Amino acid sequence: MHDRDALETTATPHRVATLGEAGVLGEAARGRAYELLSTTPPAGVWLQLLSRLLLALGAALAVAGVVFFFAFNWASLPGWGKLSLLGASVALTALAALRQARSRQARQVLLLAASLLVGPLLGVYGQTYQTGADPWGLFALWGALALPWALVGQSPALWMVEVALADAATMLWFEQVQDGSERLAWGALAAAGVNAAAWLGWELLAARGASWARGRWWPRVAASSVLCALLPLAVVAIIDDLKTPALAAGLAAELLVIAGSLAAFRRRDLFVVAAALAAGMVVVDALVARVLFDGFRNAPAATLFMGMLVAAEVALAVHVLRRLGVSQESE
Amino acid sequence: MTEQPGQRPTVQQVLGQLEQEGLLEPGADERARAALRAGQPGGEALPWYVRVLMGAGAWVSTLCALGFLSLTGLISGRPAMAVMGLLCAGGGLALRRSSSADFLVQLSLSLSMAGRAMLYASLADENTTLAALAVLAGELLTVVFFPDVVGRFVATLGAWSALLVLLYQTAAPGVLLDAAAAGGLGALTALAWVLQPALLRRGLVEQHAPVAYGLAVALLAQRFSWWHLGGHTPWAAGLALLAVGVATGEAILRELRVTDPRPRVLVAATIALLGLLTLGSPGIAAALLVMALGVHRRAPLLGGLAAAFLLIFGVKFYYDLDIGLLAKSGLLLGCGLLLLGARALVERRRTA
Repeated sequence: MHDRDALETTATPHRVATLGEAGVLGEAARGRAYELLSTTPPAGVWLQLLSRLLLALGAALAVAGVVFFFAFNWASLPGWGKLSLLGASVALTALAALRQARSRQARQVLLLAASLLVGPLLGVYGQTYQTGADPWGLFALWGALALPWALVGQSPALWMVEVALADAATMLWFEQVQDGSERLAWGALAAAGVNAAAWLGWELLAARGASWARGRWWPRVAASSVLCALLPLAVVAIIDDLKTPALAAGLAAELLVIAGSLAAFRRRDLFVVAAALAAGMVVVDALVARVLFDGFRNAPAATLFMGMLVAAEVALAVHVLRRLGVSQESE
Repeated sequence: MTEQPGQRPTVQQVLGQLEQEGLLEPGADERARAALRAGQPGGEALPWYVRVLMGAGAWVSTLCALGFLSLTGLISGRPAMAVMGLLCAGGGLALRRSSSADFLVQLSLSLSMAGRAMLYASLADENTTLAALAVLAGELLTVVFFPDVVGRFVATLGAWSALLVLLYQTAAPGVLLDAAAAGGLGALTALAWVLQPALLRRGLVEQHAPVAYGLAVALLAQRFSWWHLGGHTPWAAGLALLAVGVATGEAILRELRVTDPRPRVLVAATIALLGLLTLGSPGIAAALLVMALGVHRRAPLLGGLAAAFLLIFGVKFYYDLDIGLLAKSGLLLGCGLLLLGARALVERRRTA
């Protein structure tokens, strides 16, 4: 059962109602409790949130403005001019980030902008000097050049960009360099491997106490991306009788990730457990549907059975999550 | 109590505050702990992703049930469809009210949704207004009587869709319809969240969250063009949402007990300026309104949802601008620098 103290959980209207029904809170106390849990934040907090919103929106709009300016003048600029402008943008944003000693958020936003501008710089270099390199190389080099900033910035957003670039480079490498009909499937497997490595790396950082890696949204996104990348392979493998090694590997990898997530996270992150259960349900449904529709050939009965199966699976999943202490999870 | 952005207080903090105010006797912690451990108020205590899982499962089961009924020919005619729909919807409601076991909850959701879908489909060809009225009545009854978070959330979306259809069936000019649709939904959403404490005190604990979230999602989703049913005058919707935004800002300032007229005028002017600048893309105003409500009532999920939609509507806004690249570049850069300048002012005030 869940070890977390019930009183350390977030106060929600339902918990207050529960306390009221149990006689712990009288009517006046209950009414006041509803006010307390939904009272507006103090003015200082509003200003802090407004500052963050203005920073994010302002930086995004300014960078977009620069991009459109380049787009307008692009055709008339000589090659060295384009490279100079982009290079200067990258250098200026990176230098500006170094000067943001006091504002960690501003530093991270500027480093993110610098990381994103490296891509167009490499693209223009490739166009101007016609190096003949494949696009996968651009993404790989982009990721490599932006890596030091990700290491210094200690920002989930920077690492999200790094992983996305690694995914793009991996997928494109399989598509452009490899031969064979299975290259895309192997590419999806490899990209899932990259995301899984990033996910595990993040969990290790968090376990070692890195304060900036304490948030759970990043590993949850990574876990979801691994499960989602492998799921189509697993489903097609079931429907197609494991015809190819890549599909079989995809199915095996998906089952491994599901089992691993359920084992490792059942007391640490219920979102990951829920995602793994959802993926598991899809795999089971694909298998059962295959047996019913191909084997028995009674579409109405098969359809009804599938509906009941899905309802039963979800109910079981909710029951499992509830027993794992889901009711104590804060929103 | 807590001052972390968007964070609600813990149960311990609330109990401590109540004790300080003399509304709770000392030493109630153990009783509270025992009550929370024993109390498991059904699906309402589950995190949002589990409710999404339940909702998705209900949808799939519903589709399978409808598929079964369709394949067997049991709902081949409109009368048969209507009768079967009523039976399923009624059966789902009775099942949900009689049991909270997880499998039966899922089954009841699927039965109810499938039944209502069949009932509405049976009326759809008869008369659009009649069908929309039936949908509105059915979904409102579901909100009131179906004791389930997912069921009420889906019913709120359904009720608003029906109301939209009824609105656009009238012969009113498109400008008024767009303003009424956006302004009405914006006002309902704002009221649902601004009046949250009062609604909870009146015993609407089980209804509030699904309906309030449903209204917010409907407000954001309505800004997508495929949901537009009538006139296409986004500026009318933008003006209506601007008015709702100014009123909401005033309500928040009143709760903050800001009596000085200067900040109130500044806030109203800022909201009005933002609204006018983005008049052609009322989705931005809708997203900012929902974001502000999420912060106001410490609902991080609402804030996150609004942030995602703000990004989508923001990109769409600039993509749709019918001006050249150089002008777009200047506008984006100018707006960006303006916002960064505003941020510097806010930071100066914050650290002063």
